[in-house]
Amino acid sequence: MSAISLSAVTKRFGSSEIIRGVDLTVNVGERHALIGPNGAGKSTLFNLISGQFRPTSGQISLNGRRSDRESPETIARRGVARSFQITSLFARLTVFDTVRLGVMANHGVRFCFWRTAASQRAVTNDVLALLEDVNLLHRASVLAGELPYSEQRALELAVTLALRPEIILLDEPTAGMSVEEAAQTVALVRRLTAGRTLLVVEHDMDVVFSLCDRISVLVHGQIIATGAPDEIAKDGRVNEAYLGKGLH
Amino acid sequence: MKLYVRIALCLATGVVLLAPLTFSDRYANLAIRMLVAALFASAFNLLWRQARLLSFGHGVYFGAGMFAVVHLMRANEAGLNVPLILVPLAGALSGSIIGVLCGFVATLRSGAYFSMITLAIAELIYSLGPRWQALFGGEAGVSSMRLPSMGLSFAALNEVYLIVLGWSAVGFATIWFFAKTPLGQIAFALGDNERRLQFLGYRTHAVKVYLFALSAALSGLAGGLLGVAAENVDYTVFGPASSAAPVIQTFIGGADVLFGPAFGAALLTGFGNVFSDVTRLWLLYQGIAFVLVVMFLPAGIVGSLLMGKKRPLREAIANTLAVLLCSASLIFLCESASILLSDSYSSLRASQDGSWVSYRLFNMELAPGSPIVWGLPLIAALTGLIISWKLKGREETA
Ligand SMILES: Nc1ncnc2c1ncn2[C@@H]1O[C@H](COP(=O)(O)OP(=O)(O)OP(=O)(O)O)[C@@H](O)[C@H]1O
Ligand SMILES: [Mg+2]
Repeated sequence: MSAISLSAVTKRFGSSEIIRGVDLTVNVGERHALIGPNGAGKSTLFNLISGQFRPTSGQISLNGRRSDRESPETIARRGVARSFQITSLFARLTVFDTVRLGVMANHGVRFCFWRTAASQRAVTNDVLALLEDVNLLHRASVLAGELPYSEQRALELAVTLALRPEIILLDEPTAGMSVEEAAQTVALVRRLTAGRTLLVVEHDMDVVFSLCDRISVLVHGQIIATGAPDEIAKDGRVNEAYLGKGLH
Repeated sequence: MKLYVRIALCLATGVVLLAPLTFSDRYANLAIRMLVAALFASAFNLLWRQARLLSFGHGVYFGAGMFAVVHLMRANEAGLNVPLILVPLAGALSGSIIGVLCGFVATLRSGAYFSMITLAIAELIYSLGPRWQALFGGEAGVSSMRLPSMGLSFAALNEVYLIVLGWSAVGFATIWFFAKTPLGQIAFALGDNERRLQFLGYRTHAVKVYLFALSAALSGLAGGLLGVAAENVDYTVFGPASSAAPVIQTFIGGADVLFGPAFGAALLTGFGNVFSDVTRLWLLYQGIAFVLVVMFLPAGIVGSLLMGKKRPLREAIANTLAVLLCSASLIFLCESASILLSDSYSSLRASQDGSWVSYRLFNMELAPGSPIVWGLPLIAALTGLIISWKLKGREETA
C-alpha cells in the first residue's frame, strides 16, 4: 500500500488545465521531492492532495483510502498535514498559542470548554519541546503576525509538525531563509520526518538530493520523470526541461 | 503600591455594583438596564472578538429570552412553582436553542454574508411578531407578575437587582473563562484564519455553531433578566433598534477588549436614560458619537485607553477639553435647530407677525437674532478645533 497515490488526476481552472493527467505514488516512509519550474502546478497538486481543491477528474488515495471527495479537516484527521508556501498563520495568536493549536489537534482536544487551555500539562510540554526544536522558545510570547519572515516560516513548520502526521506535505519549507537557517530547518525536517512519509516541494537541489529517497519532476502539469536522485540527475529529458536551465 | 491600587479598584467596583441595592425603583431600574445591556453587548461580542463574525440580528436571541421568561412567569402565576432566581435560566435556554438553529444556518457563510443572514433572520422574526398572537401577544405584548419567592417579595426593583447582578456575574465569568479554554482559543484563531484551522483538522463550522449558541444563550440570559425586571414584553424587542444597540455599544466601548462592550453598553444606557429626559435627540448624539469613535478611536474608548501610547497629562486634558468644546457647541446647534425648525415654533412665529421670537433652551431665554447666541458656540467650536489641530501637529513633529 502506498501513502499517497494519484492516478490520472487533472485540474482545470476555467479553461486552463493546470494539472494534466498526473500519476504519482509515494511509498509509506519515503521522503519524496516534487520539483519543477515556477508555475508547473506543484502547489496546486498539494492543494488537491490536502483537500483544498477537488480534482476535475482522476483519483487520489491516502493510505489506501480514496480521499479526493473529502474536506480538508477530514484529510487532516487521517494524519495528513501540510504547510503553506505563502505563510498562513494566525496574526492575533502568540507563537506559543499557535503551536498549541496544532498540538491540541494532535491530542484530540477540540470542543473542550470546561478547563483552561493552559491547564493541559501534556499539551504544554509538547508545545515547549516543539518550540525548542524550531528555535522559537525565546519567542514564545510574541504575536505570530509580528515575527520576521524566516521565523514565521519556522513557526509554519512547527504547527504542521505539531500534528504528528503520518503524511507530511511541505511546500518550500526553506524559502526565504538564510543559508544557516535553511540548513537547520532541513536537519529538523530530516529528524522529525524519520519513519514518516514526506512529500516536499523544494527548489534547492542540494537539499533535494541529500534529503529525499525519490524525486518526481513536474513540468507544465505533467510528471515527466520519477526516480532516485542519481537517476533523475542523469535523465536527459529532465536536464533539458529543467535542470539544465539552471535553478534558483 | 500596585496591590493597594488593585484592592482600591476592587472595593470601588464592589461598592458601585452593590449600591443599587439601596436605590429607589427609578435608579434600580436604570442599574438593571445598564447591567443587562452590558451582558448583552458582551455576549454579542463573543462572536466578533473571537471569530470576527458580526451579527446584525442579536435582538432575536435577546427577545427570545425575554419572551421565554415572561411566559414562564405567567405559568408561575398559574401555579407552576419555579423559584424566581431560576427563572432567567429559561431565557438562556431559549436563546441557546434558537441560537443553534439560526447559528447553524448563518455560520454556513462568513463575512458580509453571515451578517446579512443574521439580519434577514431578525427581519423575519420581527415581521412574524404582530401576527403570532398566542406567542407574542400582538401589539400589547405579554405581561406577567413577579411572585414572591425565597422569603423576598420582589416587589421593589432593588430586590430584583440582586438576581440581575448574580446572573450577570455568572454571564461575565463565563465569557471571561471561555476565552481561556481550548474551544475559546480555537474560536479566536478562527477569526484570523479559518482555512488554516481546517488544515489542522478542526471542523470550523461546528466551532462557529458552538460559539453562536453560547453567544445566543448569554444574550437570552440578558433578555431574561430584563424580562424579570420589566414583567412585560412585546414583539418590538425583535426590531432593528435592539439588534443595533449591542453593535454600537461594543464598538464605542472597544470590541477587542474583554470588557470594552460592557463599558460601552453601561455608558450609553446610563447617558441615554439621563439625557432622554432632557432631549429628544439622544439617538442622534449616540449616532454621531458612534461615527466619531469608529473614525477617530477605532479601538473604542476602553481599547484606546489601554493600548494607546501614554500621553502626558497636559495633552490628555487638552484633548478632553477640545472634545468637550466641540461637542458642547454641536449639541447646542442640534438642540436649537430642533426647536427653531419645529412646528410649534413656526406657529408661534406666525402669531407674532413672523418675527424671530426668543426660545428656551437649557433654562435660558435665547434670542435667535442675537449674535452672541451663535457667536459663542462658534468660538467654542473653533477653539476646540484649534486645540486638537495643534495637538496633532505636535504629535507629527514628535
Ligand atoms: N485558484 C486558482 N485559480 C486559477 N489559477 C490558478 C489557481 N491556483 C493556481 N493557478 C494557476 O496554476 C498555475 C500553477 O500554479 P502553482 O502555484 O501550482 O505553481 P507552482 O508549481 O507551485 O509554482 P511556484 O514554484 O511558483 O510555487 C499558475 O499558472 C497559477 O496561476
Ligand atoms: Mg508553489
